[in-house]
Amino acid sequence: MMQDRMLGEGIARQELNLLFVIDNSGSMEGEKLGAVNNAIRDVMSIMPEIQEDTSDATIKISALKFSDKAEWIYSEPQNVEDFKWKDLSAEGGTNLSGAYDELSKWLTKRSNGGMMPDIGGVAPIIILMTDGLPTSYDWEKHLESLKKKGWFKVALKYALAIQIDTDEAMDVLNKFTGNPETVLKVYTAEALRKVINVIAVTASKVKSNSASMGVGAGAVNGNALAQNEIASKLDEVEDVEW
Amino acid sequence: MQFNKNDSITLDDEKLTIVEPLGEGGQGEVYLVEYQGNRYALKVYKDEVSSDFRYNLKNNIDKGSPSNSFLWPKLLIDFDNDRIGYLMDLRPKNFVSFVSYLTGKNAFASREVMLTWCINLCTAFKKLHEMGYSYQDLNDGSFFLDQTNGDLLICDNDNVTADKKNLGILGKMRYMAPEIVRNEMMPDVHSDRFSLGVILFMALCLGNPYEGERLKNYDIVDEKAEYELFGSNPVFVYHKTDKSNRPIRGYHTSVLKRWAYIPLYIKEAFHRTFVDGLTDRENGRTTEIEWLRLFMRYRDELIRCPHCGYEYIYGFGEKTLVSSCPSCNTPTKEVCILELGKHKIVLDLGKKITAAHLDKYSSEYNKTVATVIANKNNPSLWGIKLDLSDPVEIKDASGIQKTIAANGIIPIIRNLKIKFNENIIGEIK
Ligand SMILES: [Zn+2]
Repeated sequence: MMQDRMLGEGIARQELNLLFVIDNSGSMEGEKLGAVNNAIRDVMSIMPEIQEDTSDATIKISALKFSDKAEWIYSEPQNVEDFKWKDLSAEGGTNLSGAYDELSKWLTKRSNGGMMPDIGGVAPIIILMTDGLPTSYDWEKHLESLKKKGWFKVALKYALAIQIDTDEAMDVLNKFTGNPETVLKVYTAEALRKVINVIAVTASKVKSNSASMGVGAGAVNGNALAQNEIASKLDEVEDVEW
Repeated sequence: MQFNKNDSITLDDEKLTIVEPLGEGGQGEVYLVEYQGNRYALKVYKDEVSSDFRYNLKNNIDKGSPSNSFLWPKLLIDFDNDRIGYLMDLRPKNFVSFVSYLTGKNAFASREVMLTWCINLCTAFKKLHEMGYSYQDLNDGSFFLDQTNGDLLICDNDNVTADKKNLGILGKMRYMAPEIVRNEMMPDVHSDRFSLGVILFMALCLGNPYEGERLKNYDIVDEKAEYELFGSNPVFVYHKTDKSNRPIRGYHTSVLKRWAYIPLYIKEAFHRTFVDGLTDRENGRTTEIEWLRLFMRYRDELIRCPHCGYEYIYGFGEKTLVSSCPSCNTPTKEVCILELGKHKIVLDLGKKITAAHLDKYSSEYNKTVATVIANKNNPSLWGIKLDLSDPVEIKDASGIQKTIAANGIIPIIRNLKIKFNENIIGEIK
């Protein structure tokens, strides 16, 4: 055994980043944030199995919370087994602009000061969760600069609207994902927990298994494949609309 | 999941009980079940499958497993809701995943054991192909290994089909032959052979044969990037003349370290598959039988460093013999060599002679018929312990002849001739 370890540390793997962006402003207090906290614990308990099923990619987890300001839970993306969740508490406003700025910095190659791999990175998964309108009114300007990031463009983006469905709120989230099909309205804590689970687990599973293709069917887009599987699984979850 | 713990299903008057769910994959769900007093794994497809798919699965079950290295479907089950499933044996606990080996979580007990696993893999593919099947969707997740003895288990065999048929299965580009990635051909023996080469390269080098410098051309590795790397323009990382895709220093660390110590004849076989085999799919790709001979040769010439325990090659196929241990520089110890027809076996302690050494038509590459052992009372004295059905004749340099019983011990002495049978006479050098 010694000699093989001496010869190398294992295969070079691609890197799949999974990012949670969580609104922990005052209005999330109680059931909503409780559900988010539970959901992320759930997801993290399943993640090791998904990681063990493939040698193609290493899954890296990041989490960004935003209220009056945006703050990363860990200072760099963590391996599945090293990511330990600490329950968030709710306070302050909804500074979405700050969150977008932090995302822009994070979604940059490491050699340029960001957190994305220089070699072998695959399109990340970003899940945004919020229950209200931003209190930072210039969020659109900040989104514009975020959208210039290649890593953001190719990311599989989901947004969860928690117990809100005003056109105004939906507009904010539609603009974030750029695709109304990946904006979901969630009405109960249980639905929220299930939805986060389905998205994070399914997307990680599909995408960590390298880009796939159907024999005789040509290349299948990894994001599209993940999105289809997520959609079919969400059919079974109640109190969700999209 | 479609079933819950303790659900039961009646099959031809026999009860099948769901013990617990085991997992979920893209195609289906897997449960631990009890049936006729035994425990099995039950795979249930999530969606209705095509009649072709069902027919194929049924046919595979009827024809039976190519060898005991396959966790083969055993019994087809039609459920009331038009879903189907099948029973298979449970994966024994002594097996760990090939994925866990690749990621460095598990390791083979020795290089010899790793080569035994590779030999098992090539043997399994040979048998599969001899039955007219091809595997189609080969990837890292299908293989399991016993770290202590090199035993192999191949799972996910429901996609195995007759050659040149396909069931529209999703595969992974980095394990596929380029003509399949480019969608020009249907999977067959030749595309399987390419994928076998990829898996063997991964086992030996811990890397993908087409992932090197050219990865730097892509900020993000998406399906377009993979199509180019594995389909439209693959370049072998150790291509002799096109050096544009060498492993990246500091990133493909394992490949760089391991490739250096692989015998030349194995390197040539990889080069053939990954360079010539890109265009000449029928004759350019190293076949199972060729791999088997090469791995046997590799295993035969392994020698263990007396100082650090590192296993390396004696160097019969190199430009010069390897004079010292690549790990600690201790000079190579003196050993005797058994020449047996074309075979040159380094008679190091623990070395095994197999049925395939004594019969070139035998496919029992891992059936031990003799082992090099040390004398219990005088450990510096070595002999070859036989495990044969017939006695052998030996003759020393002075011409003295002797019969050794089928389970006896042959002393290791230079210039000793060993007559295993009328056709096979070996000599210790
Ligand atoms: Zn040594």
